[in-house]
Amino acid sequence: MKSKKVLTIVLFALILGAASFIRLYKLGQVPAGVYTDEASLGYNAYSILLTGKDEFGKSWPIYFRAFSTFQDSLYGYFSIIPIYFLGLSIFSTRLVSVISGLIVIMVTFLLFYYSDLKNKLCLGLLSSLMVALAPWAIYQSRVAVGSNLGLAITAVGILFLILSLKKRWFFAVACAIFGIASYAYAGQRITGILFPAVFVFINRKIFLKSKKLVATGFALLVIVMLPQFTALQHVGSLIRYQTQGYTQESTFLKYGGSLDKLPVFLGWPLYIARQFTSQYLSDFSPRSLFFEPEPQLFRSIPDLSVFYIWMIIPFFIGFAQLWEEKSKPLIQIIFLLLIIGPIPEAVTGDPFYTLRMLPLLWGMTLMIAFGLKSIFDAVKFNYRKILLAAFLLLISGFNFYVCYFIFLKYERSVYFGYPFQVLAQMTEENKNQPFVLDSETFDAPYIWMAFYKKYDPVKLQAQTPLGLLNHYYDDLTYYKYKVIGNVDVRKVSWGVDQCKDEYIVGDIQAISSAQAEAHDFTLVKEIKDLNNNTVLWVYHTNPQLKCSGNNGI
Amino acid sequence: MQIYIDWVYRNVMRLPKPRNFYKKCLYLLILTLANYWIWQILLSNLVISIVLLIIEFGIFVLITLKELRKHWRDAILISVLLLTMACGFILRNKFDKTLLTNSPTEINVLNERHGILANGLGIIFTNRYAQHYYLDFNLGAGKYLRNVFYTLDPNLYFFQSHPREKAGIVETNKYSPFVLPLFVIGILFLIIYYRQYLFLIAYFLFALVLTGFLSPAYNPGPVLMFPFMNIVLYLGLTASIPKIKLLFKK
Repeated sequence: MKSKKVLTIVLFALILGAASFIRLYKLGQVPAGVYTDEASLGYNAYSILLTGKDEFGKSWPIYFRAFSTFQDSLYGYFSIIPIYFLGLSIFSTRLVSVISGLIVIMVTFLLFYYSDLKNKLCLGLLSSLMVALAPWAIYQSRVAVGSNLGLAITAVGILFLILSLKKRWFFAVACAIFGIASYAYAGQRITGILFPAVFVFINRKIFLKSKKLVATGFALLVIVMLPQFTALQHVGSLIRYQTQGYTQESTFLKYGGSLDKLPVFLGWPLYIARQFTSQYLSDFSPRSLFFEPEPQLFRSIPDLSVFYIWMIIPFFIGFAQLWEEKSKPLIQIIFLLLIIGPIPEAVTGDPFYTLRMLPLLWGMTLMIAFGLKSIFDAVKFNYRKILLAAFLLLISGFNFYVCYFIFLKYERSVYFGYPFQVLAQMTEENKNQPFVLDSETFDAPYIWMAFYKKYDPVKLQAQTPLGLLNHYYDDLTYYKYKVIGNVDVRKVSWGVDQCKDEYIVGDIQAISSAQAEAHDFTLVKEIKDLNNNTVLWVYHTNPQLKCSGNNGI
Repeated sequence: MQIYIDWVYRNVMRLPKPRNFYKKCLYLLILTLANYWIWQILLSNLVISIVLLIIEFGIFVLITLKELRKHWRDAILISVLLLTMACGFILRNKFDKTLLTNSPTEINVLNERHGILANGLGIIFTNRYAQHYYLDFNLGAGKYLRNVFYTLDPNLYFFQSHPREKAGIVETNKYSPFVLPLFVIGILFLIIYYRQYLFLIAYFLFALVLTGFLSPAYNPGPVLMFPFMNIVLYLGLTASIPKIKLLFKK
């Protein structure tokens, strides 16, 4: 008995070690660069660490206004710690996500450890291994995203929810944790309320005996979420819902299709129902789960979806296995993850947006582990089991390495702002030269510059428009023109810029070769992504040539 | 009609007539005819639609009459023959030719990736066998799998692939979203009680393998899935009727 426990601990330590290695290996290099949202989280954490204020000069905001996208801030606050110790870098910005991924693996094991299932240790090890190796889990753990932190906190909340069946006061702890999770990612605001509510409803016979504790739990949840509720009066807190939802009448009138032939009072609800159902259903589509990656290129791995193709078999078998033990609390939780998990994704218009459905993917991974256990049980001899396990690990590892460490690294470097990292380095090497970086074709080039150049937050805060802080959550204007040291991030002004001695940087849409020739610009450098495609062209102006005599302004 | 079916039961199959057989037949008939898909298949090819209807009825009889399950070998043989016929008709014109030929864009991606794979994997990639697979089969295999997974997408059948529409392909309506609950119940029922429906699952897998060769641009869609879809809807309906009755009794 004791040796079995020791073996379990050793195996779990191995799984955790392997998971840590996969998540930390080349963390600063792959994905190459940082996505704008990551840069914003990292830079705002850096800014708060140094000044106690975000990039706009707002003290400890509930949301970072960022690019008027109003990001959830908890990830940024957690990132202050690694940035304090390691400095602002890609690695330190992503470290919170790595730790969140590891917490999910640990919670997975503990959920089984405290369950009343047969073979719980074996199932716990297999489930944590699946979470450690699932492509979605690795991908989300290697980028700075609030949703992965949200999942980790939700997982801890769920652990306490299960434990509350034995010690009732844990329910209050679980509710408080769900409340905290809602600061990590918008989706957790929905699941954070639904998980405890539905769990109490399912186990109402048990919880009815402790009504006061249940009421205390929900009161705690409301108290923790109170700042979020109060923020609802501001336009900014609802911006995501307004831009990504489909429930508005205007959206129906624009995209209603054949339903807009019906009267609005009938067509509109039908449109919402159709959108919700199709989004919800697509989250369970084997096409999306096992084959086709998410359409958002900066959120997915090329040629690899959220699970490996072979997992489709244990996926279906796993469901049958879960059904057989549906009365067990842990299985109920897995079903809750499967049913409630897709809701935040289904209420928005983006198809198969994995960030919003991480609880669902976690639940599915546990289901796959059940299926895999069943397959291994059906294999007769131990050596065959080992061979099968080795084969699956090998093909999964190879598949992941090729798609992530090769394809993603090279093909997606442009989305992760790698060319801007090179540009930032160039501008640092030429500190006395002024640069103009065109801001029109990229989402937020200023944040890449601020992040990579570790720009002094005080100087960036000084550029905040007057009065913005009084309307921080209400002003929806996106202030994208900034000066980051020697880099002026703005629209190229052809009449003025051609007569100044400076470097002008932009992509082919901002500065075509014909325009460069017409203005007598000299091409200094082509900045390429890792796939060898030129992304940015750096030109040097020739004011002496262009602005002498009548050509001058 | 009933007289003939009874006669077949008594004299050919030598079996007792199952309970509520005609009622069950009626359910299946309604589900088969009350969708857009059958009419599109009928308009596209009469022979295929008849073959598919025969297969569907065959599977239905097999899952309804437990006594017939001992004849599974005959059933498989007949199904394979019928499916081969249907496939012959469809694939003659609607075979996905892109499985064998590559577009300039695909070749471009293949070449770009060749370089980075050679750098990243070394001898594992540059050896003769890996090169042979990569250059001759990799793209085709990927496209075949793509076709297979398109077929597995439930949104294809109820929402014309919305919200993940396929580029350049106009999807036809197949089933009304209102029957989606029956499909979900049917699929869950099938997964839970899979041991009772092994023949249906075998048909599904066989049809899936064949559908991978069918062009995704083929207008009526993965028609070989038609019998499977209807049987799943039928399972969903028959599984939910007792529950609904119970609900009304309460």
